Amino acid sequence: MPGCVSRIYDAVNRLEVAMSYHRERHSVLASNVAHLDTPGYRPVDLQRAPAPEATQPWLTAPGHQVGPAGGETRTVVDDGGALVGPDGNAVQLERELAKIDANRVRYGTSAELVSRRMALLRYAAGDGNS
Amino acid sequence: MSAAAIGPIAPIALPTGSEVAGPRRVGDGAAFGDVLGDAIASARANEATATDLAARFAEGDTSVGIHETVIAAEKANVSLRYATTLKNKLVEAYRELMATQV
Amino acid sequence: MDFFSAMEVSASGLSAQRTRMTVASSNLANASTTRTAAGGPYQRRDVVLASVPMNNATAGVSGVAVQQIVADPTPPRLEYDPGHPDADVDGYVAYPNVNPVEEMVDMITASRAYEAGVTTLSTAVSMAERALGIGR
Repeated sequence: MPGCVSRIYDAVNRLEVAMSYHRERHSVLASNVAHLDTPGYRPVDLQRAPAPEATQPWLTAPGHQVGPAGGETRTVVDDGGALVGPDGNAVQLERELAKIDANRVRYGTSAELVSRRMALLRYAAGDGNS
Repeated sequence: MSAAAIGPIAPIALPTGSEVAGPRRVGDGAAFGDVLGDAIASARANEATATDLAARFAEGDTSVGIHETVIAAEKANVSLRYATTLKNKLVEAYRELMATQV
Repeated sequence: MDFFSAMEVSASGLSAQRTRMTVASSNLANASTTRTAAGGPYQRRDVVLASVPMNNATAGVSGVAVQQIVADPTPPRLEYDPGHPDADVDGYVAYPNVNPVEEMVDMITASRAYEAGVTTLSTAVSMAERALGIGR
């Protein structure tokens, strides 16, 4: 079937989009850490909402190239709590570091899953020969 | 490492003429030639993407990320292997056919 | 894109915190300086930080920079010591408006923030290395 070859990368494409989200989120969280002592700074986070077609992959046209955000919307949201210091800074270091750690693990996991999927496809593409 | 451009993959000429009967379709299945053609086109496209991303990354284009470049290279690898395997199958089938005693 | 802008953000944080450390050290070292070139006792310095946009900045990402280093306008601490060479006509010596405890706290928080910045920077590097390891 024409176009069926590009469909084998569907899972990898979704993982690639996830990886780009985690990379962007790291930048945002790194900003929070850099602004630990900036007066009036409120911490932010990056939220994502999956594209409608992500849950219905059969709607994607064959050969459709997934863009960097894969159609998902990412928004910067104010993530500061009520705890505000005397200079107006609302960053809580421990919270940010925990988020950075969790984000790092998710990025690494996505990378690992891509690796394994590619190894599988390589094996199949070589008809069982490594 | 030099960044010499890799030439595009030339399409393979499928055997035509009286030696091979036209593509046979079984039911609604695609002809093998179409599948192979599609695989080769995919391999060319993926290889072009991978080369382009690698070149842009090397030039310092900030819109190209590490994982995008690596994943594109892996896809090009797999696509080429797949197309090669299909080609080998076709050549094998052709040879078997030619070796058939009539 | 990639992790380089995140690393620049972290680097800006490290620079800012190092400046805070330097200023706190200077304040501490001059806690008893009664005589300066400008005349009068040493005046405590404060670091004012502000966010600055980064190159290729995406939304929500900004670096930090030292906007200015200002002198603390709090009046000097007066101590009665008529024998001191810098005593005024009433016998009071003007000591710097530096509280060593405060400066130590500033140094500790700056140090902690610096370490957090280093951790964040290392995380970006390790994430990039994970990406490189795909398919290896």
